[in-house]
Amino acid sequence: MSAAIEVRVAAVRQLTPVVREFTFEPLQGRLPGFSAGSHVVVHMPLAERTLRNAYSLLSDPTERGHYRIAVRLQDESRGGSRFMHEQVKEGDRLQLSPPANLFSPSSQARRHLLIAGGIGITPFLSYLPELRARGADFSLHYAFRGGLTDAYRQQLQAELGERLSCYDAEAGCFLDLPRLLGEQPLGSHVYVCGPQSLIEAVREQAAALGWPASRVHWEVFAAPEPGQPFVAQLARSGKRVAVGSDFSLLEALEQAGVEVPNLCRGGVCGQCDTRYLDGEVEHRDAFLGAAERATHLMPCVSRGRCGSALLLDL
Amino acid sequence: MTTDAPQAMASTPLYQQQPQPVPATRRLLVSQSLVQPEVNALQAALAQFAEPLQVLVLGESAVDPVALDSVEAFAGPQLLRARLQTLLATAPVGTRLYLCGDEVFLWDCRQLAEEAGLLDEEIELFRTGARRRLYCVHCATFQDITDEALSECTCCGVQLLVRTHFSRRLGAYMGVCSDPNLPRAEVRP
Repeated sequence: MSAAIEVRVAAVRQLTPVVREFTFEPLQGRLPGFSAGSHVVVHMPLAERTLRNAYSLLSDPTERGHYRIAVRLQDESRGGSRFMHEQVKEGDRLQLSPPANLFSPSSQARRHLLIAGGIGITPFLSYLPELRARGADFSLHYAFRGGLTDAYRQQLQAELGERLSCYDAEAGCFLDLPRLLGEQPLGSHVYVCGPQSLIEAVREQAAALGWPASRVHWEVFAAPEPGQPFVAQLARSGKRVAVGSDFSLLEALEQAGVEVPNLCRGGVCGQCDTRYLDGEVEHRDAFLGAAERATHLMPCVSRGRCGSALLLDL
Repeated sequence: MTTDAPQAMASTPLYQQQPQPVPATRRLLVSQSLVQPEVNALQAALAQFAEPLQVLVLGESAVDPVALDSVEAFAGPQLLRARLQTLLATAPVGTRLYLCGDEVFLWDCRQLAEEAGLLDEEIELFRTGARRRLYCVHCATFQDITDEALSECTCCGVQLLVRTHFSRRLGAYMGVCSDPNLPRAEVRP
């Protein structure tokens, strides 16, 4: 894995009661370039441990001097979003893992249909300069709760005009997915980012209307949700790792000094794919197929079951 | 080289026997004919779907009106292609295209569909008839053949071995000189 990048928090903006935007500058040298749809993993030094959450870069990829991210305060946060909202101030130093991209715009698409739910708008903010530069045909459908999760509404209205459609749940306005997905011309690709429920709705509706999976792109960074505590046995090293209820298996392994290659830490990229030999697994990733799940799990989000020891091939 | 069995190469196209049971909002059958038994079987299978089936067909085929919502017949391939192009230009994602005919017909239509924005996964190919296309790798000429293993290039006269290597881009099998010592199948002196 590449070394972490040291950054300084250059600016903090409170955009809505639950959304804060952070601008990062390099402490020295230049920031690595990134492509539209990239994310970084922010290392958050909490008192008891370091949390690492992935956030989409929302700045223009051609502007090389800074990175910007936006963080929504999560109600059931394990402390990551709360730390970003309550602790991080201008001038602070933070560490980031270098940008990686699991959600880039398709080069084959002739029309890009972007669907964002709330804070899921962030990857699309880096798409827009790129799609404009390509002269691409696109439209953005932005669903939010007015005054709460509509962080970039005004900016986008001014920039996009007709290409933007807003759906404010507070005003009783909702996306009509069957209609929207039913009338896209051949050559369209759809991209969705937002809550799991929105992503599932788009994927299901698209499939029901005959969209092949290769036209449907989605990204969800499920920060690992808490679960029951369990114990992991490591077959090769003989170690025994207890995983607390608000730790992911990956975090517990790291704390025990076991390095597992990883990238998104949110069940999407497949990097931390680990073989297991015995035990019951609660799979929570969006990467492995049913057959692979019989032998592999993704420790960034998936867990063993309480009471049954999980035997890992590590 | 000369013992290439059918399906010997990854590029050799596979054709379907039955339409896949997948959802679509619009189904379009483009067929070279409507009188062969294979086509009738396909029509019958497609008629099982709830969505209306639109049919474009080449020639003045005897049209079986059973279970057909809409059939348009065309006197020549150019007319049919033009109509298919027009239809696809306004078709939404969710359109499923079924092509039925010999390989030359199938791959001509498939190329047009791809240009219109359809993906592989949205096109199903049903082969009837033996006609296929051969590409001479020496002079870049196309010619139609059937199931022969050797064929003389109509342009450069080289005796071509018909390989199972199929180019999806060209819609043709590769023809290579079968005997470099006697490229035009000359009589040995």
